[in-house]
Amino acid sequence: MKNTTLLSALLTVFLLTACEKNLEEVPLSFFEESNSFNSAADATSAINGVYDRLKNVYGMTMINLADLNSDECEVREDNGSGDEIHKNLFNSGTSLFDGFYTNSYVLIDRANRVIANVPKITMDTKLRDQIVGEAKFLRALAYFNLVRAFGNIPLVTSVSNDVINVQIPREPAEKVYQQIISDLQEAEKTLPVKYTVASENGRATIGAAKSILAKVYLTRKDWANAASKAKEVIDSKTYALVPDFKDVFLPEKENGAEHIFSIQYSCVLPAYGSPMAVNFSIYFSYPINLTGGSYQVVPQHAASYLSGDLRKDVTVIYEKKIANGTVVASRTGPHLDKYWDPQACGSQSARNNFLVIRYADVLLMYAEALNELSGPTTEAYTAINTVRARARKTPTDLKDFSNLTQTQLREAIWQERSWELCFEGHRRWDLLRTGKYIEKMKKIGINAEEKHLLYPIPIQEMDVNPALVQNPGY
Amino acid sequence: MSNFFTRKEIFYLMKITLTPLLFVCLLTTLSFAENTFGQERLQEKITLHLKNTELKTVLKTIEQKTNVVFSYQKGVLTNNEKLSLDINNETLESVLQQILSPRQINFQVLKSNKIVLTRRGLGNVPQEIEPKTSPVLFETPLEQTITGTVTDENGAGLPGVSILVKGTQQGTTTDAVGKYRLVLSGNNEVLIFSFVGYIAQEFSIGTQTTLNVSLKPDTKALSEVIVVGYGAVKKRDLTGAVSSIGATELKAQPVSSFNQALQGRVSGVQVTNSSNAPGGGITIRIRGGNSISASNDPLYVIDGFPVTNPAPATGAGNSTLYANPLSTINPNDIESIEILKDASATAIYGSRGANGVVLVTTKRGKEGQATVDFDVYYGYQKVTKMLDMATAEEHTASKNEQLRNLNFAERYGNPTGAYPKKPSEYGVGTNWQKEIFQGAPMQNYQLSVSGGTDKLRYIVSGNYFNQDGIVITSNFKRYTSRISLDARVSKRLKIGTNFTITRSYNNSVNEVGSSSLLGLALRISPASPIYDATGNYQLLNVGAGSGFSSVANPVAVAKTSTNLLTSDRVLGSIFGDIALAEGLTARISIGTDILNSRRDIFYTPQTLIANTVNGYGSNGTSNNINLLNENILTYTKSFKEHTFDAVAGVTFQSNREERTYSEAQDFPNYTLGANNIGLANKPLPSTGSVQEWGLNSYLGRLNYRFKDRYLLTITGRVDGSSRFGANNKYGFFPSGAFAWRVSDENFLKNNRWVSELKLRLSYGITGNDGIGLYNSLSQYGTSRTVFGDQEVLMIQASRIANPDLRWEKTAQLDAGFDLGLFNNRLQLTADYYIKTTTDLLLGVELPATTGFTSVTRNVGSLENKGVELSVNSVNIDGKFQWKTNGNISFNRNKVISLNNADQFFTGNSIVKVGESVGSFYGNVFDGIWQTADEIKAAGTLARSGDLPGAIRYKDLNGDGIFNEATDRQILGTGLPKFIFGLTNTLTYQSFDFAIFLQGTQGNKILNVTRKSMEQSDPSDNLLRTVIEGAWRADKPSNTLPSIRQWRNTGTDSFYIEDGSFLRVKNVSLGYQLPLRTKFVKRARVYISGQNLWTFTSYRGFDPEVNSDFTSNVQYGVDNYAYPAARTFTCGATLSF
Repeated sequence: MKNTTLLSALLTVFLLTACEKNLEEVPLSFFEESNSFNSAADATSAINGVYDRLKNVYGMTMINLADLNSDECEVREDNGSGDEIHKNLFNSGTSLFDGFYTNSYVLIDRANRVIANVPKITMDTKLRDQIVGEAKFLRALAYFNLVRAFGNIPLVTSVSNDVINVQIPREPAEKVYQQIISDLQEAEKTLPVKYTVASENGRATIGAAKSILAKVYLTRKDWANAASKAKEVIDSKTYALVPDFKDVFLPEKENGAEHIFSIQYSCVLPAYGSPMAVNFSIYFSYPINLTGGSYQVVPQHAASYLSGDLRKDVTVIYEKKIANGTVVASRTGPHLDKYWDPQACGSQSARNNFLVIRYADVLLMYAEALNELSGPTTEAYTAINTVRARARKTPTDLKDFSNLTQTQLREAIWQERSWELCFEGHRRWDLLRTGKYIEKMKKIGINAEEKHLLYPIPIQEMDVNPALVQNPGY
Repeated sequence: MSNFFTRKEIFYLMKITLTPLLFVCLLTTLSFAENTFGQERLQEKITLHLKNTELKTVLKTIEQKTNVVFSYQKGVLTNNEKLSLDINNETLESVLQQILSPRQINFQVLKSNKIVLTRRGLGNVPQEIEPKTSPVLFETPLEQTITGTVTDENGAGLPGVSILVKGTQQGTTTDAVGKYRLVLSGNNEVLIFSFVGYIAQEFSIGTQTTLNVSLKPDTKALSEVIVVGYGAVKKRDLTGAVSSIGATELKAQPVSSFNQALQGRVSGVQVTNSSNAPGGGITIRIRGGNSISASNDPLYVIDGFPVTNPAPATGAGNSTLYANPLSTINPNDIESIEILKDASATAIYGSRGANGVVLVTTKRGKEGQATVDFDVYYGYQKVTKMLDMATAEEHTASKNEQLRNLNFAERYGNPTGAYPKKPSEYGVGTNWQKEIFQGAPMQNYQLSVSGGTDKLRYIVSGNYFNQDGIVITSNFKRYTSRISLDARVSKRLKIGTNFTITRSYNNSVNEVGSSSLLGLALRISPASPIYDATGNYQLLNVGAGSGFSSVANPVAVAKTSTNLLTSDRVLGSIFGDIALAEGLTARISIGTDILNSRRDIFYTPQTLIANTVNGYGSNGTSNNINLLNENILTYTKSFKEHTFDAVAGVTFQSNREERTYSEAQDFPNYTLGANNIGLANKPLPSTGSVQEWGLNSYLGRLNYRFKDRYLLTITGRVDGSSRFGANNKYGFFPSGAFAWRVSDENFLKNNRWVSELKLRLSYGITGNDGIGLYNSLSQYGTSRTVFGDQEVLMIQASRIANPDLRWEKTAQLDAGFDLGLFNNRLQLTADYYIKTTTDLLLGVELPATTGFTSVTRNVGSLENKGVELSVNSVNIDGKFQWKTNGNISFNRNKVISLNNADQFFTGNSIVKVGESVGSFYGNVFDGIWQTADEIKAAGTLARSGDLPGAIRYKDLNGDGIFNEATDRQILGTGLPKFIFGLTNTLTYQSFDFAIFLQGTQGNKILNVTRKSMEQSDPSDNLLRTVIEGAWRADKPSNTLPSIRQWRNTGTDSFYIEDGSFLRVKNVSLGYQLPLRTKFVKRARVYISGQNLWTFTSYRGFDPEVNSDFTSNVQYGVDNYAYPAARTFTCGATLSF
């Protein structure tokens, strides 16, 4: 009996002390939803995380989406997957679309989390509003790319942590554009004119919001608003064309007068470097990578430059003189020199920023909007001629435009955009909004049909979200 | 350790473990207070009235009046004096004192009613001598002394052998050298010699005074005790599927880790050396893999401690290391290993039992004189095979051939180019395989001292193991010391401890993939020299613009870089066993497993990876502490034909892991390596993490035996785990088993052929908690990004919460039998099982609109079923003995359901409903296009750009178009149809010889290594087969394409090879030296050869390969795996 008593006492003690605490799972080295947004520093870290996602949707992703699938950029034929994009041989399983779509929505979700949580933080209200504004700017940018690529798309503006009810249908592009415009308008109100600290280079400014907004209006053929937004940017006198076109692309001269919004890459660490240099160069400068990239310039585009256009030498090269004096020649066609970096920092990375929007683009947008609104006006000529003036060797080379019909000026602006902004992630979008896509693609011998005006919704998304309907033809 | 114990988080565990300890102390005191047995007999009151009676008669009268028996040697009661006694109601003690003390006679109570009398001043009677129960004993006190030695099968003295006079309780045991001396009280007695694990023998004494006996090991082994979870049972009472291997099999092979030694020895257990590097990783699957994304590794329980095997510390880029955390355990310390396979055996481990359980029992001290054992072996290893690679001349010529084929100018021999030397001038060039392979020694020294008394038993051992790898600079060193003690504190309390401390050094090379050392050696051009003209290591493959890929110089990488993993492990526990009542025992134990590791990586600029960054180093640490408290009650009760054994317990386990990692570049000086990375000018962001888990468990098992032949086992465990989501913290894992000892039934009892037959049936559910930590919670991860050129901190939501997350569940049915024939000369064990795993953890894809790509959820199921067979037979017995052990296991794996889609791809494999995991998936090779006309005629069956000499693939779906994505099929699986092992042991007098064969059948290997060497792009070095047999216009081939640059097609049947093999794994010859001196008890010398011959059609280095070590769905990928070695060993075992 004594033993039984002892035994039960023993067991009782065990069971009582069998503390549930052993089963609690408290993360010790990462944050959870509940403790991620407590301070101004948390808010800054969170918005930094949204910016970082831009690298997943720009970089080579944007080059592939907007330049490779156009009449300007092509790949050597040993790059099979690139060739599919260029020649409209892609389908809904092509990994480019899944990567772009997924990362865009991840960016949007991270921005939504900032927009939902940062206002609850007790902190400096100006900074708080600015961070929310940055998140709205970034969300708008992501939706703008999505809607141009796919047309109707799911519109998510709030945070959900439900993992079961996840089917979201596509919304009309019109509705998405309304959201983009409203986000950019709100961002405009809270973003600063410029940043003064080096560690803030690359954050969204009021100028960035206005410039992107101008582009949104232009895309929607809302000429009046496009012209007025572009004019606001011009009149702000915050930006100017750098005198030498070459300097626009030099890593040493990044975040200069002309750069309105660029995605920041750096060689502080190879992991922060950009991929464009290695993909475009005849000879990649990184000391131990002896081969060049497979991305090249479409020969028709290379041949389109007028003589005396300084931009040609920066854009199209057939050979490159490298550090030790050796001349490396392309065996397979013209290469691009915009992304050359003699101080690359890894076998896949260089210092070049990705230029999302720069001042020359704003000038050309302004010219285009004015011309559409009220024909070739002096202001329109001034805008385009400013861009041409920088590009010419001598004033006689690329003459100032004057006395053109509206149609002639329209064509001239479109052509100017191609010379000025090629390989910067604009071409396909420009061709689409001007209705020239099929014609231009056929011109370089690529089959293009109505269905190619929209990219297919990635098959991976169709599989997991039955609420989605595929674009016609895929 | 004090650091850990001061932590609040850990403290509460201490609190709960201390409370039961207090009880232990309390109980101990109680048992001390109690009298030693039998003393109450002396307090019995007695009345005696005798006159002039001989002492002998007095004692006899006392025997009659009380319930005691006297025992004494002849000579104790010498004088014949007569006594007169008048005693009224006095205690027996005082009576004996009165009559014996004046006569110089001592008395001592031996058992409850036996009193031994000895004469003072004469030596004590050996205590073992117990009197006959019959009072006749001292009526005929004839004495006969018999002496002798009991030896084992090898002729060594056997200590502790029990010798009993038949029909009596009288007997003795042998001393430390096997000698015994026994005084007999009569003629023609029969002596029974018995010892655990040996066949008992009877001898009629007659008048002889010497009897030497040699005991034979008991092959019947049914009395063998098998360790099971939280207890042990006799093999005859076992209801589950449990395999066991002993120290003999473990010792047979020179291995760095005990789990390697399981290979081929046990049915149902597949062991694959994923990396043959010293201390390298091992893949073990017990009855197939149950899981797709959770762990498939069995639970390892070392002396009752379920150990975790945390990943080693992190290292900088290009330093892949698949270390085996169990190599920190010294195999020489192991007494036996039990493998629990069916649910009946594993359910007691609940949420950790699904993948099987490996129970390791280490050696403990035995009663007897101290024994010193010394084991030593020395081995020499050499790579089993080298590949036939192109020479420098052939490789440069093939580059020229490629350039010609692509309509470019030749590069080698162009007088105006950078490489004016003609291919023929390059000659043979560097044989890189010769440069990186070496003959490698290995050595092992083990010294142990063991012994003990009935109160205290001990074993103390030390071990040093050192193995060089067959790839230069790789090495594994281990120092172990161990102590284990068992103390009988009192009749009721036993305490014990077990402590092992290990330090190991793993000097490794990058083991897997194209940048592994082997990968570099096979890929680099033989035209590249080891040293450049200035005497430094050649950095670039041949040189700039050579047309060869950027492959680092493997000799430079090996010799100028450091990759060192240092691990310390302390595995220790203390326990107390308390006898609470008749049949009821409590065991309380607390233990800890501390595994700390540190990795130092350093690359000098002589290696490609660090050349442009001027030195690259890293330090990573991982500190892991695991605490365990177990409180187990066992109860045994029999009445009539019913026997019950019950186990119930509560256990708590918790674990904390702390990791840090820092790396840096740009070192002003390389001599200090990674020892002081603060020296570097460019520190990179450091990282760290801390994680914890806890497990609270309540377990129980009931064994019930009826008539000793109907056996029933019911087991259950409730596990509460921190890993599971908030909605599923607890899981219950039950099992039941039934066994029927048919051979004990009357109708078989006297059967001439069948000596044993037991049928077994079990069913149960076990879990798999190997789902990582914190996976049910949302996670916001931190890292860094840049603005301008400034690094800034960023935080991003990186995981979405799933509060429903729980364990994977495996239900297993097992039916088997154990059959012994011809007096157990032939023993057969067979099992059939079917395991169904449900609630598989899979990354379920989410629409990107959620902001996440996937969430881990419990969906999907898969099945493993199979048959296992093992046979033991004694083919020839006697002076010459021949024994055979064999096993063969068949397992079939099938995916039953997945989420969303019915298939998904990983790497080169597909996971598809209805198919086995590990299925390779890809295009089917269909020869080579021979002519342009043929290609033209084929139309869309050829790929765009195909030319004569290109590879042709099959249009599998028959749509008339070859499409790389849609024309794919399953190309075989990396899982074998069956695996087998066969050991033959021959012994003749002092010689023993064993040969062990092992192999797999029906598995495929994806030879990624060959893929790079036969892909016909000479940017990497090529196999000679390509040089000789590539398609050329004048010498067409239908197997190898022309040397060009063909578009890669992903996985391709051409590189899928049969991985079946039969291996002569081990051959050994031992000799028992006839050396027996005062000091040396036993001496044996042996030689053995490991991996002597392998019969296979596989073309790579070795068919035993699994480069995707961490994958559950890719088996049998050979991605430049560290090759196997052939090893010759000689060794000696000495006992003092």
